[in-house]
Amino acid sequence: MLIVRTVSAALLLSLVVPLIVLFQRHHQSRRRIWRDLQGFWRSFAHGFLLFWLLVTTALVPAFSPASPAFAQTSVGIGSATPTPSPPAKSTTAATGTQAKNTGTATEAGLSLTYGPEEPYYSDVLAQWKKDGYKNATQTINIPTLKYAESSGGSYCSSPSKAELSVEQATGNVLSLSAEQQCVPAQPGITNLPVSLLQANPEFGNVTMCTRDINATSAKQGYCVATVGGRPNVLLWNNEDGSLTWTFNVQQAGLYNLQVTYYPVPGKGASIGREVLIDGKYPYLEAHRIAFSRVWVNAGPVTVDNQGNDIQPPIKEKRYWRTVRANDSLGMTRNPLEFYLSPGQHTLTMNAIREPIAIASLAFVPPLTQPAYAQALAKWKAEGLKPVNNVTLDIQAEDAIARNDPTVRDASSSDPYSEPYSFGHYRLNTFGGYQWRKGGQWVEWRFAVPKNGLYKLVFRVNQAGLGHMRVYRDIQIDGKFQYRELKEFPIKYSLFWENVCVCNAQGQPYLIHLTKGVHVLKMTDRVGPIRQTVQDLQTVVAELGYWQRRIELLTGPNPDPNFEYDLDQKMPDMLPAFRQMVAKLNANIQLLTRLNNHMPDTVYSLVTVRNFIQRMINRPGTIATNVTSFDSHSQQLATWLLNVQQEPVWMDRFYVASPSFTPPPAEAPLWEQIIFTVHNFFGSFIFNYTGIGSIYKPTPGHPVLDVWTAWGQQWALILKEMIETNFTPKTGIYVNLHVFPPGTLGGASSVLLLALTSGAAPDVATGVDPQTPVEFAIRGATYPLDTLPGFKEMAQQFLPGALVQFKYPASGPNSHIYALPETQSFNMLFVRTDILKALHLQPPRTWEDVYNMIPTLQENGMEFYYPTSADIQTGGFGPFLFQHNGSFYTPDGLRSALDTPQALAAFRQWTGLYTNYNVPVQANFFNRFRTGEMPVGVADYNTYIALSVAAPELIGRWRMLPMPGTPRGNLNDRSAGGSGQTVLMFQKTQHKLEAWKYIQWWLSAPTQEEYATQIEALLGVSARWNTSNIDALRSLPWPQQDIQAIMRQWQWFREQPVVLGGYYTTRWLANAWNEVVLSGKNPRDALEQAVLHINHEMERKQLEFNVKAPAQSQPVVQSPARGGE
Amino acid sequence: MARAVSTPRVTMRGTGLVAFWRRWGIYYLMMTPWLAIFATFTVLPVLAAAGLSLTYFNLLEPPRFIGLTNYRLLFVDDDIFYVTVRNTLYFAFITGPLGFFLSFFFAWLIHQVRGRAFFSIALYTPAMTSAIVLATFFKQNLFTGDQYGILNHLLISLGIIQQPIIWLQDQRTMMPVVIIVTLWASMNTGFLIWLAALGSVPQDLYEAGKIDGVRSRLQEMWYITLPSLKPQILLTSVLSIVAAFGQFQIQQQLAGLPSPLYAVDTIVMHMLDYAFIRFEMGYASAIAVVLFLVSFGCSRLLFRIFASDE
Repeated sequence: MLIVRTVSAALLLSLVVPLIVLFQRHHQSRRRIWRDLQGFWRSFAHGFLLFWLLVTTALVPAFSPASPAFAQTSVGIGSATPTPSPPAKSTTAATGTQAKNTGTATEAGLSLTYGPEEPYYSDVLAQWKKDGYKNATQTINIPTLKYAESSGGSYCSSPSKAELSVEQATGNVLSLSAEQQCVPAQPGITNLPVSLLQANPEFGNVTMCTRDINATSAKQGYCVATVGGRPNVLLWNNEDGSLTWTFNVQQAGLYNLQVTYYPVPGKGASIGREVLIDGKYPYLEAHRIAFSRVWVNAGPVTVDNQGNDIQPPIKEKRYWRTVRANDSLGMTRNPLEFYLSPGQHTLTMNAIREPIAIASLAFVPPLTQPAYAQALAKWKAEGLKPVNNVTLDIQAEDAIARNDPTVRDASSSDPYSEPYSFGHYRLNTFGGYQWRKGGQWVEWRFAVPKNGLYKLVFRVNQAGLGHMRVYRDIQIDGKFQYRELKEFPIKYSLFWENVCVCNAQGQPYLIHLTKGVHVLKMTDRVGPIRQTVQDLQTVVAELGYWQRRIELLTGPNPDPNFEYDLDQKMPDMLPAFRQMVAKLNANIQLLTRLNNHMPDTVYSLVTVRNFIQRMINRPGTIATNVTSFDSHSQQLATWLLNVQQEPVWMDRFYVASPSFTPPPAEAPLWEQIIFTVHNFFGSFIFNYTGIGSIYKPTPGHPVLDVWTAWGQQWALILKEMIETNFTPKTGIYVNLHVFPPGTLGGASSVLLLALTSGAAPDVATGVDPQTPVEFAIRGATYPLDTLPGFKEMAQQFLPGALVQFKYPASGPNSHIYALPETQSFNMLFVRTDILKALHLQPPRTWEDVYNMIPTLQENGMEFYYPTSADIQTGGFGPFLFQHNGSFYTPDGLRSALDTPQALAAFRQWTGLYTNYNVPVQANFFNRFRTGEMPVGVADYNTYIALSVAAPELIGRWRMLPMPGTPRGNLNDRSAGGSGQTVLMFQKTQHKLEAWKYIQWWLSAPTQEEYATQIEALLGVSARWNTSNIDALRSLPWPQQDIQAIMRQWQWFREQPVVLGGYYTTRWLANAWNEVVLSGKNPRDALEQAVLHINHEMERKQLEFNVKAPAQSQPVVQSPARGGE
Repeated sequence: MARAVSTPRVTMRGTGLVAFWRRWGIYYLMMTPWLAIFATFTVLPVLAAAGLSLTYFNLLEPPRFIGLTNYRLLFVDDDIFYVTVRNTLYFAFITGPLGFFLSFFFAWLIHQVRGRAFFSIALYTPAMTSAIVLATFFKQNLFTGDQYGILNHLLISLGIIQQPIIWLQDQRTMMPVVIIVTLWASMNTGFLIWLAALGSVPQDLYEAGKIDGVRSRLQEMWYITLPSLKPQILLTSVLSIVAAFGQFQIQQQLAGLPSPLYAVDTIVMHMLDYAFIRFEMGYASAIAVVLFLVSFGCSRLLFRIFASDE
């Protein structure tokens, strides 16, 4: 504050002084004074200019109170878990350490907590080691088929088709069955339902269950089956339920849980289970135990007709595997250990996702590995010698297996990457950004000619994690030969490096290989950074917690001149801050020590530490800085997300004799220059715009031109699918061209210009929803409902969505000109933890919202409703539809916003802002994270952002259907959502072929496969929100979310596009502006708007010679009619 | 003292095209690349616009001749056009002279100090950034409408306002905001011209002025500097006026196309609205032709005023 004031004063002063000097009188006789003044003037000119520059460039961020706008800039992609669904049974707050660090405060009716349900594994293990527990030496076998209890559990098939009823008018009510068809597991069940078998064609491996165990027990049972060639195994073929076994322990000690399992066909994600010992979770990581699926390439790398490599498709390889239960995030160094005391215990497993078949369960002694020195001594004693003259060069892109389908070959244009890609897209490296999550492993196979000791060298590029090391486990044939191969560090470097498996002094760690074939397995590990991640997750939650506690005393807008004496009112505050600073310091030192210098990225921690330290030093400033707690918390959370990613590009590795020196990893400068020039000339030859193979039309083999406005990777996958699924079945070749998203549609769109110049394609996808009708009015798009098979196609989408593509709105010539490709949806997002603390229920109707707003505002929070600037169709649609109004008359020729319902809806909409003070503009994503806006309406993109980029919120928020308006005994929750479309042009010469393509593209199997592949490649942040209802349901949504979406979609309704309809959105926004920002009367504003809208609609109707009912409006001129 | 040097008389041997070509051909040849590009990208579009303005053309169907209807409707029936003209003139008359003055002021300041190169680059950089970048910064950071926007936060913490002001949607504030952003980015070629020109004023004029009784810096500027810079004034004012008529990028990025209640719409934005949102390219071409004639007329007028008598 003081700084601001002095700076403003200085600015004013520096503006005034030059003016004074300007008017300075100077006489020749006072030359000396003049010279002095000149010097004075010069220095002020300097000062002023410098100051001006500082103000306009550098100081502007300093004025910002570390606003969330800045914190939003770097958002990491890729969640810490393969799917972000919270575990089915309990919440993972994932914060805090021991129980004593949990904080609670109940003051003024607001109860706040933070802290985990369970402690971290590393802390628990440290405690066990301190208590003197040792590794056990016995094995405890658990009789898998004789489980003591089971609960939940049902056999489910894939969801049935939705039954839709399409109505002629714009309204629709449809009944979607959101539940899958499930059969509860009953005792005595001997056959699996037939539909279950049909759903998974690969189920052929599983024969029907032979008998039910526990036939005499009254409890529900699971199934015993023959799976993967093994008879009598436990088939846990659903995604929910839990099983409990009892077992007896004789020797106390630490055990690993060893499971022999078979990855039964499911949705493709890794199998998630929770483990409880004696009904309690021993530590937090017990919530997220994963059993991986194994993926292999389904074929060789093929080349398209442009010379580019095509990623080979992958398929799952299913076989019986024996693993020790481990954390799904790769944060632990060794498999999870469980302490068992002597006596009888129970083991419970809860399902999180995916089915599994278990052949055996056992508690086994943990493995230990020798140190390298011991292993080497042992080998020397056996007479093994380092080999000579052996060099094996294995390309990393020849990986044989991996446990995550997203880890794939990558392309590098580095000159020394083999095979060299001259302008082409060659899959010559492996991993990269895709191989970045803890727990992902990859295997390579190679054969050595001699028995002996070898050295491993990798040619890698680790430029991913800024100035920090990444860690990889190196296993030969599934075993660690010594413990130095665990979490082997790879340094950061901007260049390609030959990283040898050596110690810090450069001496190689030799590995022993017998003659023959071996498998090298490398697993991504988070490494010693796990300590930082755990500590700082606590700090993240604590910062938010303290902000809320402080705000309880000071209110959301603390008075800067009042002395709150917070450190006296809350005596536990400063010690907690000191603890946070201690944690941050410890981790800064840890990271500095690990990397031999302080990496740049660690400065974020330094910033936060300095901030907290300032609070400790001057407690009087805490109140004024209270809003910064959350922004620092978010900064830390984002930093944590990023630091858990460990990407490494690998080109090849050498298995060679220890005396081998690898060729240089980076090309020397002169070679790089040559390669660059080579590529430059190549850029004139190669065609970079088309995707995949480009075909020329030949008679009898039509070639379709398809333009798609999605990203490059989307197009690559689409092209792959076309080549493998579409072209072989139909014989139609497709040339796919990709455009930047958003350019196919909107003002001055590429499509428009292409049509004008006659270069339009046959089919365009990724087009915005207003374009089809606008083009159809002018005869450019083709009516799809005249084509055979349209009715069946249309049933797969929401009828409310098709309304937007219908022109004219009614009448015999009414046709549908496009089909939806993706569908967004506007839903309600709530922070369940904050609502619980405020004793509020999530609102179901608008009345609930109004009742909730005062409570929210008393606590410094707000309700969020997006203005027309934020949602494409504006926030007005839901209100209008819920009042049973509509935008236009049924014939689509006049605006229906002059009806009483529309006025009531408009009043309600603007009333939100004028009466209830809902903020007009806000960054909902950030405020939802900080908790300032615990309830709000937002769209699909926000859902994805929260799922992926708000890790601190896991389990603390939910997506619900929009608040509705009760009508009769229904809750009318009408709302819309934007999306992209697929359309076909009139000028195409291959109408039926184009229609075949559209049918194929929008069909459920294709959309499902595409969505799976996109999500596999790019992660949850790229989830494809297909508009095909069946396909959408089959994606790996958390159960609650998909149910909410289906409930909301029953009420999907959108604004139709009519002649002159763009004026509706425009004038609604203008009317809103006048009412909310300028205080105009809503009725006046709306009536004005309707006048303008009708005027424009009539202009357009005149232009296109559409007969409208008689009106009493002034004569409208249209240039098309010669201004009649 | 300069001696009059007469240019050598070149005799044209013979008349007709061949002789003409022999005499002047080489110069025309040297101009051809520029002439070709100028013809294709400047002259041709102007002619095409003039042609299209006499038609009804909705971009998807072939154009249809309708005569001067577009012009008639533009002047008689289009209310929004006058709003946009008012806005454009407002911009032109505020950002024009103010930008002009600011450029001159800063050029003059820089001229007084050492380290001219540094300051001139630093002040020129805003003009080099595209309108989109600049608008993103101003829209997302400085003038955001919630209380976290920098300006809102500053004003709230100074106690000047209690509720955040929605700068870019409120009619009262949209115009000043756009003007400020335009001025900030207005140190462009004009500014550099000033900088160069200030250096070209001979110093002995100032000394002579001091002898003759010039008392203050202000008088120096008015009597000596400005008259010497008349050609530059002409150039920069023509540039800035023509530019002011064609402004639309900053307005579009900050307030959207069209802006709420057309509060900061300029003529070009109105044209874009008709061309691409309403699919009436003929009408938009008529607006373009009108705009072209107006800016052309203005620049000729300014030439007349400021052209030097020598």
